[in-house]
Amino acid sequence: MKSRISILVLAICAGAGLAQAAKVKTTPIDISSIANTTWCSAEIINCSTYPFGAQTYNGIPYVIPGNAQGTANNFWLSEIAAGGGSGTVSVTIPINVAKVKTVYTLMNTFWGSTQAGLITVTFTGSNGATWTFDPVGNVNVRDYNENGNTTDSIACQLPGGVGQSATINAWVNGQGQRLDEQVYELPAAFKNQTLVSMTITDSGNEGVQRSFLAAVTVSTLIP
Amino acid sequence: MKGCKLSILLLSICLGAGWANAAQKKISISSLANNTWCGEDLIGCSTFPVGTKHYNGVAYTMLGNKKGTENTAWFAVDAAGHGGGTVSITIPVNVAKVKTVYTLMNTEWGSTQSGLISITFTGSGGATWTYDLTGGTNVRDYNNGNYTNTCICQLPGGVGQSATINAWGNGAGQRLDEQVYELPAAFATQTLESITITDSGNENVQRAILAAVTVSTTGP
Repeated sequence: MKSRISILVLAICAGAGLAQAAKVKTTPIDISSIANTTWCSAEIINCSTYPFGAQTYNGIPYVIPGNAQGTANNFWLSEIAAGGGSGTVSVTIPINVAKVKTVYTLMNTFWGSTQAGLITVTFTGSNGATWTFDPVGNVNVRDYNENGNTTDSIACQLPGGVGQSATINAWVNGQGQRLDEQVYELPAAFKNQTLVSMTITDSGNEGVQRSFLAAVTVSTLIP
Repeated sequence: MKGCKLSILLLSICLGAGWANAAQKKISISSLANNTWCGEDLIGCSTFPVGTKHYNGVAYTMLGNKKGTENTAWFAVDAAGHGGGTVSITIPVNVAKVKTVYTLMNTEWGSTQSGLISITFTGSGGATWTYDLTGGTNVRDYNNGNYTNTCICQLPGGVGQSATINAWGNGAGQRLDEQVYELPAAFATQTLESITITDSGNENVQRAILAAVTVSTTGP
């Protein structure tokens, strides 16, 4: 009987440990099916320096689409989706991961504007949870190219709690080009649901601001 | 009885493992603080935070009181008597198996010249690590003005690395930045005994301000 108690305690302990291990779960999301151009086709400055494949930034693993030959699309560019003109475009990324607490994206813009409402990101849960966040230029997102003429700053923080987002830098090439990491700490309602998808909507324009998305990773941990 | 003892032992180990996962420790620097925000004439001094604060998920003790009569930080400029010369402080830590150290540090004025600020970590078994903070990369002027206004804005990429992100801003141009130090692997089995900050700046060039220190036995 006493031995059974010990086994029970050990099982609880092991279970707790397993749960802890299970919590440490970060899942890169494959966005290759929605990627619509390559770094160089999009005429990104110093495009050949841009990363692809498995990368880790700020401790978070990402998978950026692409290949060494430069023939596979690397990212989703809203400017391409809009045919180089004006109008609202959007992309929905299937996720289907349970109990997500944090979503990480690598997003920057062509050009850049501090006007609110040009980009929204909407997260959709399996049981009705939704959260829409408006990334604003110079706070949450910035021009991929540091040129002093558009948006060159970000909040440079992690989110302060649930239902918040903040941005830090992920990658630079030392020549003025960069990728930034947006960190979204989902509202509490998502913790008991499956994060079904996220939708990015861009209402910018050529010469104003157009967003691009290079990678998405989700985590069941807080940032 | 043996079974009961075994159960208690296992439970202790279990709880201990859980406890170890939440191992952040705020380090008091009150004995080293040498001025107040307003005593130092910082712009927006009355807006600076006091008490326990959380920035980027890390807990800090911000010194001072609401009356502004208690010292709030270590100011290298005061340690140097507002003149030139090298000054330093050593902060006792004495926490085992530290993996990450967080500081809230900015500067008065600011320079991109390297070698003006260094931070040395000392372990109980001989481990040492000295990191040179560079203005515009690891540390910046507390005031968004004419000196250093940029930081690397990343978390460290692995052991033996450091990076900096913003911790606090008052919306009026004043700020506190968070330096994140991921200690070399040698520290994982030692006690972090102390941290020494050395400042070789000067008035109107760059002088460090240290507001808080927190250590953690987990990675950033």
